[in-house]
Amino acid sequence: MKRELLDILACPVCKADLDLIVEEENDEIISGKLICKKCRAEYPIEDGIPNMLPPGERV
Amino acid sequence: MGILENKKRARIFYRYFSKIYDRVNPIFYSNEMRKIVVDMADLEHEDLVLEVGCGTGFTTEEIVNRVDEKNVVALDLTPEQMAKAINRFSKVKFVRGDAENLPFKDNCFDAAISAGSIEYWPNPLKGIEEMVRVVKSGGKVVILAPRRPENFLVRKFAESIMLFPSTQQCVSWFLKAGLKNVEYVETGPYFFWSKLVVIISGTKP
Repeated sequence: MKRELLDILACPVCKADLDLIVEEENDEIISGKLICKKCRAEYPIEDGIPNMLPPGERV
Repeated sequence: MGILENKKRARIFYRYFSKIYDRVNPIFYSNEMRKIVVDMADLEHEDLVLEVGCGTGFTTEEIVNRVDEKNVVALDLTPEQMAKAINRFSKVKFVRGDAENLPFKDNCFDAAISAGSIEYWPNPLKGIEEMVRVVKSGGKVVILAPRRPENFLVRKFAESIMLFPSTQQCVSWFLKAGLKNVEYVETGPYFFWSKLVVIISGTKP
């Protein structure tokens, strides 16, 4: 994902802002995670795509 | 509740159906229909647009004809469907997520479009309210939904698979979600199937 996407992304559950932790990055973030600043839910970035499904809905 | 009107089942269905989806989908959803969908969103070239339920990218293709590709954010539940769209549009920003719990801040998009996704949402009003939440004041929300069949037997069969809302039901959801200037078009891919879907739009006050 592009870093600029962080400007509009929010936690799907509580809609709060997210902290970004980058594991691998070239011109885009390939892997890492997004952590909700409020409820601390974690959302993985896998193959460059943030998985923003609420934690209870990942199947 | 229809068999696919459940996210887990829809997800499993599409994991397999995605292999043939692009051959089957044009039977129900034509180029003319997607043009109407995107026309009703009143897009300007610089607009930031959200597509909810992009699937393999059929509607996305029409959206990127109208706005800068990098200003399109496309969300889907199913990675297998989205993989095809990712290969087709290198600048579109893809996000895996749930229509009823959109992972975006309030008032950030100029328009939100969803074509052929609402039939899988267990709580369609919540999904529409989420689209309204993330759109800026004055922005459009546009949804294409399969219409409730008028023939009783066809309707019973259709409803056993997924949700087929009536046009009146869609209008009522749009009004409940607070949208103004609600307009709709009933259309279809062929003259003998001319009211297969309803395309509905509304403006966020």
